[in-house]
Amino acid sequence: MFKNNVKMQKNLVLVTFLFIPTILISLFMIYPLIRLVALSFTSWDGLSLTKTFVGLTNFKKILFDSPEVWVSLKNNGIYFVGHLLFIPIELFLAFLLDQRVRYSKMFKTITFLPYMINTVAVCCMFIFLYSSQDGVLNSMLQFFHMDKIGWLSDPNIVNYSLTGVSLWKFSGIHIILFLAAFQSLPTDMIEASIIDGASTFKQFYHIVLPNIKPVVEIVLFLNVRGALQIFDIPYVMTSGGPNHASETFTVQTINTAFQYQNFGLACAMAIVLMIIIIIFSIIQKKLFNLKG
Amino acid sequence: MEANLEIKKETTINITRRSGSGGGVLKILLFIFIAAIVILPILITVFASFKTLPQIGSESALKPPTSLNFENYKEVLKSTNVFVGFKNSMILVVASVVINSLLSTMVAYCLTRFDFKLKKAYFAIFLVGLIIPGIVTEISRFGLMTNIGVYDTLLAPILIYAGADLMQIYIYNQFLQQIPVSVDESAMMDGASYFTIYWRIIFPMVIPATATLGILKAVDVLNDMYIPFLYMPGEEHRTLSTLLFNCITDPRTSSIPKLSAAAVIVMIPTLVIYFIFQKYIFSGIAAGAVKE
Amino acid sequence: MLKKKLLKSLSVALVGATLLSTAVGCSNTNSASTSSDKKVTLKMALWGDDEYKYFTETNKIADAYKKVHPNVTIEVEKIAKTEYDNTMKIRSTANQLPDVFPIRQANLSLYGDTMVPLNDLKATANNIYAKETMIKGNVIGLPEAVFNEFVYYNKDIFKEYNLEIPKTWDEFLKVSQTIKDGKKYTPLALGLKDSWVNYPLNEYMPMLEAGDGKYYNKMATKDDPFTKGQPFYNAYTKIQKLYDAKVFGDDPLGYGWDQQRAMFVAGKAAMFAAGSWYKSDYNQNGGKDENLGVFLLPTRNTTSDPFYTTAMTEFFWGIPKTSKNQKEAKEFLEWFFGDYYTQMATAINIKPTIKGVSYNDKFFTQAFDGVDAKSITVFYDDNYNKVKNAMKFDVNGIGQQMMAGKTSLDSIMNDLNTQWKKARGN
Repeated sequence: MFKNNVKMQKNLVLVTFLFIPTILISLFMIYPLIRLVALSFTSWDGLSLTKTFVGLTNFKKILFDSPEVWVSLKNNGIYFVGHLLFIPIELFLAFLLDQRVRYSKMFKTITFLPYMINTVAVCCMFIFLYSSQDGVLNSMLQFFHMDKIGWLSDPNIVNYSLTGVSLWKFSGIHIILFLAAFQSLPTDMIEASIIDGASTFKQFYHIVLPNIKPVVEIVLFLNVRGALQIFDIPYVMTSGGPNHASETFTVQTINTAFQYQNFGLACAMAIVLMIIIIIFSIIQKKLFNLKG
Repeated sequence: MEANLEIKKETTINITRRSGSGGGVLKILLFIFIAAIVILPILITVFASFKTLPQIGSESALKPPTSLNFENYKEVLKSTNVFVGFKNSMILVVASVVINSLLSTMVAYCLTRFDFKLKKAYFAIFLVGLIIPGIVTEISRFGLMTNIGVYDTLLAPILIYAGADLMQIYIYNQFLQQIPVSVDESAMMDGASYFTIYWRIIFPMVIPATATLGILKAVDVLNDMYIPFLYMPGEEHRTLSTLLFNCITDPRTSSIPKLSAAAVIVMIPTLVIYFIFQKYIFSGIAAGAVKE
Repeated sequence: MLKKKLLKSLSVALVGATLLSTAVGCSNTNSASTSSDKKVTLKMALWGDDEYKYFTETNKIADAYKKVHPNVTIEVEKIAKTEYDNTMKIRSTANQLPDVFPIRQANLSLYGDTMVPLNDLKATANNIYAKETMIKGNVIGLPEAVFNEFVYYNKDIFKEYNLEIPKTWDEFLKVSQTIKDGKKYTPLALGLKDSWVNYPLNEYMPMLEAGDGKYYNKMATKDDPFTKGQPFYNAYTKIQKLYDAKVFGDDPLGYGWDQQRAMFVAGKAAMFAAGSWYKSDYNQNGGKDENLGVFLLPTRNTTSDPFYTTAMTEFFWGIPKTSKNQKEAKEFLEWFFGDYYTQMATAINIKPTIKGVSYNDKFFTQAFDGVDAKSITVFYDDNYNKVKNAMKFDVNGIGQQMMAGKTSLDSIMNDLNTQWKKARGN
């Protein structure tokens, strides 16, 4: 009788607690996703009333007849690797900020500041910085008698410049997440190592690092998702230029849908991207666990 | 719990002292360097916002403005009703944060405390929500919004913001996993129902996390331009960000000085919130942070 | 010459207008009397800052219309320009288009089935360009204004180097080179980081070369329009010469439209290619009229060749089929293109599309002095758009590629031919 009551209560809680979130998620996530999949098999232009079913044509086109799509994916790769290489640095900075540097409070505030600023505003700032006419970075280079760099104009450099903007904006949130993880470590663990006379670096590498694996895992996942979906920075700063050199997969998707009126193909691209994200996350997770 | 905190404070002081003597200067220099990188782009934007277009065209961006010329700010503010924008933004922020934290904790509570059939599937759905590429699904979401009659009301963005936010659920999950199940069990023995446990025990215990996540959510909502822009075209429904979106995104008539002024204006409310609540961001994450 | 052409088309259309207006006029008065009691709100969106200011401040359109149609309330909505096209498309799929709104030229053919045909309106008959811009045989939108393209120049700099207004492409190159050799000013400000700024060159020059504003549509009927000797190829050879002369400052791909304007307003750049719409922006940002001059971009080879210039109707007022107030919306358009339009055209200084509305802008007429310029109307049809979308044809991006100068023009053109043929085949 008592058990039954508990079970009923449990079901009641489950139903009431999950009811609204389930409704919301089905309406705003699942339903659009189903539509997305359905539209990916059509040649819809995004406006007309007729949606012609074209089978797998769109997917075939992406896989076999769209070299530009795969080139853009390479640009996503630059964001991914850039952020990946920064993770150890972010980890170390967070470690120092965890009370191991003077004025750490003030530095914490500053480190996290960029994340608070609107992306469009961030892009405007960096456009002045990178500009080839009276741009700040180039005038600094000139001051030191160095050659100017085509930050946004050189197709071989532009993606790195944009990755820099992304790092500037998003490193803060990673540092905060790492910091949180450090602060939750049992203090006696670190204390013991200090008594043993371990250097800061040793503390970090041998004691702290192994204990914050779950957070690193989240950040790694966020990085895959963020790098593969990066859109606003290239879109606002270069609109994918010069000559499509800084287009990312999502920029291409949006242009296909709205500029080139091929909504069906764009939906197929979105699905391909989701599959890539899932595959990448799984591979990364496997690799990470091998190392750990 | 309190005693624990006390110990932590003491040890951290020790740590600071210890490391402060070592490579302290180097560390400080490192952070000063980082602070410079963070502040430089913000600084030139503030400079630019006080200049005229001919000045921008003729002098270095690093040169401070000769006078505090508020023309650009006036011009940006003239065409916009800041009070309406502020009011709407605040309604969106408060509603989204409150509803979102309630829903997320409820979902996290169900996911961590109960086993049920669809648990894995449920989690997967949230994961999918995180990797759906936004704008392409907007067409079907838009149709839905108009069908349920919330188009051009404040409810439209609230529904989207309040709905599933996997990141939040994930972090709440980590927090809840740290609260020993024995806490629930003993309350159960005392005759508390699941509802009481959630409301009286679990929810209060994750309030520090809620503070942090709430601030992050508030920043997201404040900075989001696209959703309010798309779903609330009405003049009386402008938010701070859409007010400014209109002047930022006009490539032909917006100029660097006006753009900078607009960027500074968008930054201000977020930064005010950030500086007021920043201690909660850091302490909140730390209090219940993610650990294994 | 331009005036002559205007007059000619004017008289032809006037005849048509009188014929049509008698028929339409009748039905209109009928419908007005039946609908006058019903309270209606017409939602309108718009494109353009000057228009927005005029509609909502200078001469409130809602009030002006209330006087004539007391039962109709007009709601004006301004949409951020960069998001305008996307927003309208998204709204269209959810049947949320405003009752009256402007469609931009580039999207006109896309809206072919969505919009109410306006063939019978008096305003259509009065419009000089409406019949030239029909989609599938229907007028689905009424162009509001015509933009010509100009080269704005700094008179002081031209005086300093004793420069004359160029009349041919070679003279234009020479002028640019002279200023470049002086090493004081940037000859032509072109912020190619924002690829669209090269539209007067990369988009319009093939039309000027062909002397046909619908030349892209013609290209869409051929398999290899990029071959040597064809207008497109010739125009791009000229553009390549200009780009190779490096007269745009250090690194034109590294600065954008903002910086381009800043350079010109600050007197650091001598020339600036843009449409007539740029003039008000120049003045708003502190540019002075005394030393501002304007001429038509000379793309011809010799002075004996004909001189062409483009006329672009940027946006078209239309009514969606989903509108519940189509009748009222049509009445509104008829009214809008009447006296209200005449006053607005003068006030915000746009070149009118309506017959009989005078346009007397001394500033821009100086550009037409001494050249016998023929105006060609820019228009893209459905057929061209299909090819363009299928191969993602992007002339502005090609311009960036030419500026980078790493690929030879011949290989770019060959490549385009291949892609074009394939896109046409689909």
